[in-house]
Amino acid sequence: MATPNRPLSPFMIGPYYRPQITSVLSIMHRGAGVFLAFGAIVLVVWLLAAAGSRTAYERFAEIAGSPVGIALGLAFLVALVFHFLNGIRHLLWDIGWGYGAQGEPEKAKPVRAMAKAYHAARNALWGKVLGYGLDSGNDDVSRTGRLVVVLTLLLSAGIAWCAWCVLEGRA
Amino acid sequence: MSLRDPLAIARGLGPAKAGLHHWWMQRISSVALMFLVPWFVWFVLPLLGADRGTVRDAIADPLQATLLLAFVFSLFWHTQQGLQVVVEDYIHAAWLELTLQLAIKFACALAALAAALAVGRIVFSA
Repeated sequence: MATPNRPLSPFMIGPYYRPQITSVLSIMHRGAGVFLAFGAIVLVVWLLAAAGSRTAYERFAEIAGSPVGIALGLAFLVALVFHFLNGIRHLLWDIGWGYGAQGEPEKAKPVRAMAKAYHAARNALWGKVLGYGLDSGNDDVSRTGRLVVVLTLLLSAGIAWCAWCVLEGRA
Repeated sequence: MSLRDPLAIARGLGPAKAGLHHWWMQRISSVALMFLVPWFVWFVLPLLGADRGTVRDAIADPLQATLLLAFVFSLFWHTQQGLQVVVEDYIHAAWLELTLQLAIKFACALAALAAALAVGRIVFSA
């Protein structure tokens, strides 16, 4: 017999939990994925424009080179890098890696170092302003999450810098 | 009180249907993209701000065209799989869910076809 009024486990978003690095990254992974679906459409429009007439390509280049186009391109870049790195984190979980408990030993050292850098940056950027940060665990899942955030920022910045150099070289 | 086995009543009513197969296919497309995304970034960066001829020459290279199509197909396969799960999780009105699932599948298939034709046209007219 079905029991209709059984208690439900509270949803991760809402008044029940403080935002945690794990839950925030989880929902951001989905958000970035949905956002990147639109980026995939832009990619196809680019290919169609390149396969089409000269005017078609010029029009595409004009829109892509506009401030809105560049901002959107940057947003796609950051979303792609994040989804890529966090996706690798997911794949590592699938093969059973990265589920360690608190105070894991030596192998977590580089991850912990990155996590420290993340904390320093976070506090400098918005921790003091907002008065609170993400609730951050000390397990491998949280640590690799922070590593993903740091690497996303570094990699995106690096690629964006390369892109800027390419554009400068053409100007 | 029914004498039927509760499992027999529940069977076929769950949300998962062919869940494991979908999960596994999603891992396959993920692994493909794990290799193809870095390639794509490396391929596309030098083409930023380039004119049409340069872009077409780059795409027309047989190896690059192959990888580009592999990337686009993996990308839309993965996109369809991911969006399907998002809709399954958050859209609960049956008619809307079915509509969105079909729309997503058709849109991804169309986009992949369009990309294939575009790349093909560039390759075969080079």
